[in-house]
Amino acid sequence: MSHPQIAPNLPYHPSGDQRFAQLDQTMAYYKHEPTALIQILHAAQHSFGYLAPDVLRYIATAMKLPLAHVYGVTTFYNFFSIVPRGKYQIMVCTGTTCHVRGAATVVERLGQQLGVKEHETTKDGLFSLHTARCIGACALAPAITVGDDVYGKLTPDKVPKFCQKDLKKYA
Amino acid sequence: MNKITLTIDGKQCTGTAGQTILEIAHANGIAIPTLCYMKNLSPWGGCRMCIVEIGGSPKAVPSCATPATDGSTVVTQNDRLTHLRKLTLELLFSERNHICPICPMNKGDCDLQQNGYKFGIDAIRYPYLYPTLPVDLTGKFLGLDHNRCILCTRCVRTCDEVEGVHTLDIGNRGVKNQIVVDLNTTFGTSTTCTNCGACVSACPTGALFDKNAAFHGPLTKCRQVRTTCTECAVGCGLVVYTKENRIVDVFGDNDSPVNHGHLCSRGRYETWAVKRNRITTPLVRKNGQLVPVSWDEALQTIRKETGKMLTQNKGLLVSGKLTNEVAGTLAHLQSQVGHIGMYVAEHEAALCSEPVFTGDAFQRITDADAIIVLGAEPSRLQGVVAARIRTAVRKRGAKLVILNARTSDLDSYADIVAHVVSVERAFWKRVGETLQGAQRPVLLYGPNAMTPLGITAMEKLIKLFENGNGPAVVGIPTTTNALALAGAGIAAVDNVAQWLTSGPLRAVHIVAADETDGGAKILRDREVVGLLKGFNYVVVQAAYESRLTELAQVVLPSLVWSEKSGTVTNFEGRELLLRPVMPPRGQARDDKMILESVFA
Ligand code: SF4
Ligand code: SF4
Ligand code: SF4
Ligand code: FES
Ligand code: FES
Repeated sequence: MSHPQIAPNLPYHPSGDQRFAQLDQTMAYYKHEPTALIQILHAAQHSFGYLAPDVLRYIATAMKLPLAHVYGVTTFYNFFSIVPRGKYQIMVCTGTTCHVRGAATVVERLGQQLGVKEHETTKDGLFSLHTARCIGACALAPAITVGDDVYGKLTPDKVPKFCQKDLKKYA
Repeated sequence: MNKITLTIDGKQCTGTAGQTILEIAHANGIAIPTLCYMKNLSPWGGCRMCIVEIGGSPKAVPSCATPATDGSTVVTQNDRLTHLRKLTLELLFSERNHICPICPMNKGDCDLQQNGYKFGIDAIRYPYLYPTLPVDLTGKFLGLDHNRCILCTRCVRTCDEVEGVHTLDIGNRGVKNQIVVDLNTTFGTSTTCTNCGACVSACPTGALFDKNAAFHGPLTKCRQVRTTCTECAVGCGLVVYTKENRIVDVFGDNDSPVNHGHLCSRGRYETWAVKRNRITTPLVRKNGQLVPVSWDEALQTIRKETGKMLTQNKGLLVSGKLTNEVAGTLAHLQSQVGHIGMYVAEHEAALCSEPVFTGDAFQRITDADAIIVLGAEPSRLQGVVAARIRTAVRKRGAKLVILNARTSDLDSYADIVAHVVSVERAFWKRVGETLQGAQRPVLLYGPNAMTPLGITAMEKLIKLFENGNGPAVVGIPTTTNALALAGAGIAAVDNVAQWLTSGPLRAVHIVAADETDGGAKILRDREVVGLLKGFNYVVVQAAYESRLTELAQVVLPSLVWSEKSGTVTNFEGRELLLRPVMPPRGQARDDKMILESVFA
């Protein structure tokens, strides 16, 4: 995920956190229409990294939506996270081609190397481990993405070296 | 409305276009099993118990969510449908941990179990999932055991569509689906749940349950009595379930023309599920201590002390919760007691001075497209009215203007909220614009509208409607039966200290009835405590012990709501019946009877 940019010239937000000012602007752009909730959650996750209870409460109050409804929508979609996520999202493709080429073992070994299970975040807060269905790089199977970068032909036995070399670039 | 005719199980059935197959079947006496369907809620179509076949097509459709079409042929019962329904039930049983013998709804109160029996389910063909799920017992009155939830969303829809707060929803996805409270918190820490208990009434299983009713045996085995809630001026219909003269549970009466089954936490729980110390015998102060005595002794003591007093030295200060029948007795006592007053809330005396009842007020609020709340606090005082306001705003887009000193949850739904009524022109212009074009406006006002500022605001509001449909002006008192008692000639007193000093009073008899605080609210004014201490004689007639009884020379035990008979008049002017649910506790007696024997 690319790093969120906070637009300059936003009105000062009383919380002292300009990301809320940005969120205000997004909600205003959608005229606080309840049907735009997903777009707004999207924008909020983009700037906050994840959707903490305070952020959800802020959105619910501003949009006059019930808290439980906002929670229900947020947790319906895998894309949204209500727990802190790492700076970079590692997506291991488990689509058919990658699966055949050993994606399951890739997930397992990556997890071992990073000391996390799926959906968890490394202690240093750098990476979160996820799986995805076909990322459209079948020719490079098994494929993974780290943030916006794609890595191909990452067979299970290449995982340790990948962690020691390639992932270090993100530190 | 277009009439349609269809054939259901070979029977000619008529209904109106837009009705679902299930509604028409039910209306024509054809039973279709259901689980997630609930009358008066939007259809969900999730459980598939109500499946039917249409026009010979083998595709089974949920009848609760399928509009009926003219001329169609519907089959609700056949071997295949029974087979599918059995599979549905088995899936439901296998998904969570339905250990019936330890469930509060065991033996008759659970729709899932009843359907299981009905369909003869004795073994489950699917593997049990045995999920690990939490139980939330943090709620003040209710519990939620996720192990027994079938995700029918009846609670979610009730909370959203009836109480209007939408505390509940479904969180997560797929097998991880779970009912969530707010942002996945507990009932105990919910910021939106009003404890109305409607979700519990709606739940078909033992997932949501009333903590005080759990494990007291099935409600189906209880005696049921219909009576009226006397906690506020709405007068909701209640169905009280009792066993061995003990209240097991209280639900709203679906047949009540007032609340149609819905209640607030006061009527649903506060009157019985909260522990209070009942006064069970007459008490007389001897050497500074209140000691239990017989009724005869208590009455004699009162007579000895006050019998020789002049009429003008005696005062009778009564609660506005008394029945119309007690009001009749009080009217007769005017010749023997110099001062009779009814203590009411602040500014409420003015509201009672010309009691106005708005016939179909409740329905008007329900149908309103603009609601103005002026000096009233429905959220705190008349929960069922607040629920109607919320749903009018949230479901039908009604405008809401709140002019009230205190904040409440209703503020968050309002178009305009003002805690101090402004006299600014711009403000009133904004109010005018908000209310413009309203076809069915309602102006709901409470005691706090009776201040000079409130009255100015009321005049301005009514003026705003000069050129359109005028609002239904609905006064709602804080005190249950204050309007009717005032109408019967009993003066409303909102300044008790002033009333106590206005005449040459020496003895005062206070009738607190079954006020849950024992009538102690009049002591909030410190001056009243001092004045009462200075009186020669204070008699307190009440159901519950309180700081007020501590100031009395004689205490007389009276009945609580569930023991009373008689009538009260609600804010619409409806006379509503109280039926005794159980016999009087201890030596408690009816207020009317006590007054007659004291002042005989
Ligand atoms: S008690 Fe009432 S407000 Fe609370 S969750 Fe249940 S229905 Fe909603
Ligand atoms: S708690 Fe009860 S009403 Fe709510 S979804 Fe579960 S079973 Fe249905
Ligand atoms: S709204 Fe009033 S009458 Fe109805 S249940 Fe609540 S307190 Fe009782
Ligand atoms: S299956 Fe992995 S990229 Fe298509
Ligand atoms: S009752 Fe119709 S689908 Fe549940």
